[in-house]
Amino acid sequence: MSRNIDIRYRGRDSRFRLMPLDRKRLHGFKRRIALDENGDECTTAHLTRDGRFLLGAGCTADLYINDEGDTINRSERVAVDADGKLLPTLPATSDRTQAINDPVALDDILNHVVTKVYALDVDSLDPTLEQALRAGAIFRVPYRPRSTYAEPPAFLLANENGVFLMQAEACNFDFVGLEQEVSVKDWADETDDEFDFDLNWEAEHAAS
Amino acid sequence: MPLRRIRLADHRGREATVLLVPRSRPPSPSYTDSSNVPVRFTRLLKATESTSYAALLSRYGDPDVLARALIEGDPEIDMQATGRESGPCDRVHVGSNGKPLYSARMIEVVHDCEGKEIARREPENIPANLVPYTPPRWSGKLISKEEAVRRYAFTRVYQVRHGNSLEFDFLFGLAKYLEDIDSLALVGSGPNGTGPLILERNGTPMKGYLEGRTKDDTFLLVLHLASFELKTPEVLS
Repeated sequence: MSRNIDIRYRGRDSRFRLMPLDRKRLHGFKRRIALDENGDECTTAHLTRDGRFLLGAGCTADLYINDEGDTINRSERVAVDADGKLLPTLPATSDRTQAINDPVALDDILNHVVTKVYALDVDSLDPTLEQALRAGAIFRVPYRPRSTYAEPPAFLLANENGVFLMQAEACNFDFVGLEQEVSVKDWADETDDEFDFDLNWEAEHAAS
Repeated sequence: MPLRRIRLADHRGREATVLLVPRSRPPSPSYTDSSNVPVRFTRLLKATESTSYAALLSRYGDPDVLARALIEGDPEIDMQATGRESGPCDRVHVGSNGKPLYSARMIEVVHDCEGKEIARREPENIPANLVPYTPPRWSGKLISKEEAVRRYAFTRVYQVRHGNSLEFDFLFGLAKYLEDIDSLALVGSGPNGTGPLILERNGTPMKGYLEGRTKDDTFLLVLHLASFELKTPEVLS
């Protein structure tokens, strides 16, 4: 079932249906499967580290428990910060009209990374908003599919292929100067790793 | 945490292997219950392979006998296991006999955009190409910020950083150039520098665009990566 989003821009409402969009839906996908000696497709399971239990699909339950081992419903959890202070919970935006302000600057959207994309099917589109979108405007829209303590931004934009809503998260990158070089210990050198591996392998086999 | 590296060329024909630093995520909150007692996530065992329907049917031999056993007792519950925390686990392949496989033949299955299987083939390992053996080429392909943000879904991002002063000069110059022309530059693989970037072995091919900004003697150079364009399946078909 597709979700809706209602948007109010300059006092006029528009309504869209959201359809998730990703690479799989556009270009298909590849997956790797394992075959046993008879050529039959294998399933995957989890083996506990002590080797005692083999856990297939549906063999486990994910839940929240307190110190006494009592189960806590997801909806009953309360988010707190590092100091134990209550974090305010923002309600879900479903079925509530969200007012949007003026378009954002391009650098604002470039300061974020996209986490989810929706193609929007227009139920009703106010001409003022349509005109702004056609002119290239990008709007920040409050969009929370469920109640949450954080407000991840979402951006509304249009191109020649349609109207899109992109959920995003901040990149939090800072400008860096000459003295702020990355420490050498943080470097990952794949070439060195391979060389070390070969040396270790040779050393072990020479010893045996 | 070890960082990725990328071998970059610039508009002046220079090149350097520099560092890609991932974004820092805000810390996740802790949770409590309504009486302010801390709660934590856990994964508990409900059943094991030995209490699955297939295993029970194999043990009792007949569905009617199994049904009677389920009414009279609890053979579907492993009293030693149920309710335990699973802890860390290893992923294993399980054969049709329900036993873990020690060796398996891997094949690659290709699906179309509707999820239908369209081909099966031997898997091919495609290496990452961020640090090619041959010097990279400056693609020269520039795109305005307006077009970039409305055309691509940038689902991964890295800050390009320096490890020494020579790399700082190289990256600062590149960031300044991109800021002056107010554009993003395509960074890619292949002889023309326009091919897809593959960040890890068998990873998704992505289009990479560099964005640069400067402030006094500091710079911000960001590699935006997109695995698809903003199009609907209907437009593609």
